[in-house]
Amino acid sequence: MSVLVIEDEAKAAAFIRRGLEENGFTVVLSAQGDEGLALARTEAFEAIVLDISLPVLSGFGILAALRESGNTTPILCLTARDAVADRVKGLELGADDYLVKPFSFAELLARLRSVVRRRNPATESVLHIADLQLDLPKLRATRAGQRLELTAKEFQLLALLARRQGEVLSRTVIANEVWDVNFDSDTNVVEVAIRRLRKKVDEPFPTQLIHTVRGVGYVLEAGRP
Amino acid sequence: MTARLIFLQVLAVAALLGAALIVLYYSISAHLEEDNRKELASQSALLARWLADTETRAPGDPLIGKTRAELIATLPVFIRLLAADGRLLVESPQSPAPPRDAFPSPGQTAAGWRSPSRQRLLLSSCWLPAPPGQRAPLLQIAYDVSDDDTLLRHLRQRIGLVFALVLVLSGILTLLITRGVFRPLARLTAAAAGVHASQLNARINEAGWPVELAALAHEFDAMLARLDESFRRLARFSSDLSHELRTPINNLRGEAEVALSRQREPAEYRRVLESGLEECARLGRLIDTLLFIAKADNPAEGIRCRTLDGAAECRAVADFFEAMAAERNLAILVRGGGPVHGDPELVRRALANLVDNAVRHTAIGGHIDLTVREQSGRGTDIEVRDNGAGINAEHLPRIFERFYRGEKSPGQAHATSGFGLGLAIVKSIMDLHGGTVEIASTPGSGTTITLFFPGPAPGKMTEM
Repeated sequence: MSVLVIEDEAKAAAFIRRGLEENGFTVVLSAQGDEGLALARTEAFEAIVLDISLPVLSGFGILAALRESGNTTPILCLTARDAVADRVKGLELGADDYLVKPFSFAELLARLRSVVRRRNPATESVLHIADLQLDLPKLRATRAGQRLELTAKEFQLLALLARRQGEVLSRTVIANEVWDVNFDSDTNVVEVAIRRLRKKVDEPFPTQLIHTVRGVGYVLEAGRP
Repeated sequence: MTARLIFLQVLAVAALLGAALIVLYYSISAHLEEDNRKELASQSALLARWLADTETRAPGDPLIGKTRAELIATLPVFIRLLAADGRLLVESPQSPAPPRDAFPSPGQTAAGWRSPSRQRLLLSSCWLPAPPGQRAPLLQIAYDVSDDDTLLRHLRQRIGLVFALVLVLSGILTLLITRGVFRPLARLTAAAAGVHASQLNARINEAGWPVELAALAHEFDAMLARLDESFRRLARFSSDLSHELRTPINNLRGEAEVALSRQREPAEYRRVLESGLEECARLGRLIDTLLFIAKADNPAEGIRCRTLDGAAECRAVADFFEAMAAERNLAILVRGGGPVHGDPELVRRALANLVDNAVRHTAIGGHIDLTVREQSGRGTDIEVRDNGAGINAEHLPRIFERFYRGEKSPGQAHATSGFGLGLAIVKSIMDLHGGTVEIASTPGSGTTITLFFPGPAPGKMTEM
């Protein structure tokens, strides 16, 4: 999967590139607006990570130019400015999602995957991860053939982790997707919810599926140390 | 301001006094003229008779035997007698003599005439009485009114003098009065000039002000008090803020330095990096929160309000805390219902902060009630009540301040109870909605916080 990253901040560009490459993306980097726009027009990318404050041509300018010329590549905007007006403008110009700095890399990854996924949504209704099986329409979870007794929210949480297995999901993403809570809260609600879920999903079984990535978030993955 | 007042005052006096003096002058001069005319009319009638009667004087009259010319020469007025055919019969010897055609016809009003030597004469004419059948001679008479002119000129000079004097005096008086009136203002100005950020506790002392300024002085003091309070709060806020910022940065820096100071196992590095990430997340959240409150203080963007189902919002928040509540065996109950006019994200955030506090401060087995109550026509209350530890009364007045933590417990505060900004955010959110937040608490039996959301303002768009 190839991604164009247009970002002029050298350190940020470097860690984004490295992180994305290690997660299986091919990354093309551009530090200038006009150059980035030219690249976006001439090569086919599966997604674009676009910083808003760029020299020569701003991210908004690139966004507008691309959408005007009919380019529909998913675009994830990055900005250090947290003005609602900015966010609204970005989305109006055709951005698919918006991340405010400082962001966690896991969140960038999750959002990037989700804007790409939005173009070609998965339609599976039964998920299998190792010996865990989730029947989404029936809201039924079993592990090693044993039925798991989960509350509605616990099932939603497990389904989210399972749908995006292997992806580290931040607390913010989880709170947003499961409880529709859109602010970064200080509470450890997500931690507690994960802990309770683990008691039912992991503790009775020999192998652990739900892992904590300290300082980042949680991931559901088979065979992770 | 003083110059302007004096200018206006002098202008007003000039206009009024000027008008009065002009009216006075003209009435005097008109009166004089009228007198002169009357005098002239009676004189000419008298003269006409007198000249006509020369032949019929009583015996012994000293004038008997004198010619008309001799008689005329004794009179202080200019007289010219013309025969009916225009022939000059007799004329006073004064010169220069007014020309014949300057005189008005008999019966007409007197006319003025000015001699080359600047004398002003009032001219009139009349027919002499004549025996029947004869044409009467014409009497022309000129009366010197130069004295009146002199009088009027003097009057004008006096008037001018008085006018100028009064203007100057009124200017001076206004200056003195204005100074007197403005002296307290000058004192007030001096007091205001003496106020600096470093001594906002100074007050300008209400006593001794004139009634008109007492209110201003009072408001001035009240403003100083408010500024003082804001300043103190700001100072406290920045010191708290720098503490909150220093702590995670210090941790980041120290851990990284120590980790790099010698060779370590990969697991060690990993632990340090993970810990660093936690600090970064903490910093990020702090910045977000502070920005949020700062924006709420100056709401340039406004909020996007719509009508929400109060009970549904409460249930969503209760769901969010379900796991935490279950962990501590707490019951979160939603009661009542009603429409809430608000920004959905902000309403949830406020409720979540309150429930979070309640969950944290309520003992195992306690309960938290969210009650939605519609206040007929005014808006809707949402009450968050717990039966937890409660808060001591001394903390209540400041509980909504930023970084205010009821019980200072530095070690414990760090990871679990956030920044002490939760209630400040709630307050900001309620301010944005034009609503209120009230707190009541009894130590040992619980805390109740009531949010009041006003209904949509009539005639106002739901989009604010």
